[in-house]
Amino acid sequence: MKASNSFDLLVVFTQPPLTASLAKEGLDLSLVNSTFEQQTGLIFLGAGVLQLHPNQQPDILALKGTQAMLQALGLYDINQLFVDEQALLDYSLTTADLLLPTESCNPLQLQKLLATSRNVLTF
Amino acid sequence: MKTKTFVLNVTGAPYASLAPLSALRFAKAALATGHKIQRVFFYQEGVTLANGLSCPPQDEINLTKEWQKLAAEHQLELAVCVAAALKRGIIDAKEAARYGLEQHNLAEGFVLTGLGQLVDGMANADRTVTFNS
Repeated sequence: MKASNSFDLLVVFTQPPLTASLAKEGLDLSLVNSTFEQQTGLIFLGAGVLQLHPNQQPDILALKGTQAMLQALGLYDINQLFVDEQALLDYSLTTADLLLPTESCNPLQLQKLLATSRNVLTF
Repeated sequence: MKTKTFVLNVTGAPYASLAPLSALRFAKAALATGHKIQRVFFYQEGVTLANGLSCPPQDEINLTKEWQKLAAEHQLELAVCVAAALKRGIIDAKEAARYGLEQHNLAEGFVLTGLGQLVDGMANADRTVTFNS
């Protein structure tokens, strides 16, 4: 895996979708960070992996979803997404089920990513 | 001791969380030991600190005033995320005019600014410290 790359910023998503606007804010920040030519990686931890669950229908709750923003990440050269291996197991998901290509990471790999990134912001 | 440059990212609300108070104490301690605070960025719920109309009881700490005082003493930049602020009713004269509102409440010494200021700060400071709820 590419976890040896060190990032200028890792944005960590910990909340499930359809809750507060935290995930949207994290994505906003990721996009801005990338436009400043800063290496940006995204980590989805715990219930945060559900952000990548396909087939969400936020409009039923009059909420604005983040799927369009997630799909725009590639246009901003943000292609390194890491997911918590244990969380995928907990929610009976595999990387193949997710909205975008991701790398599944064990706790040691996640720890290494976090330890080598210049900055970490958690949403 | 080597001098470090810090950016503080305050995301927790005053009174509902300890974030603005912890950040204030951190800033004072850092400045007292010769470090630099490059920028203080108020984000998410943290933007409500910039509400110039908050009136806590007289015998309690007024966090907005304490931050204004520290910023004036040390020429600190108090940057407030404009998108997070507008959403929560923290608004300056310019934005009030833009949205056709009669009032504005951004406290003196605070500036509405974009997320780019946080990103720029993170890229240039030695360390960014987040104070959340």
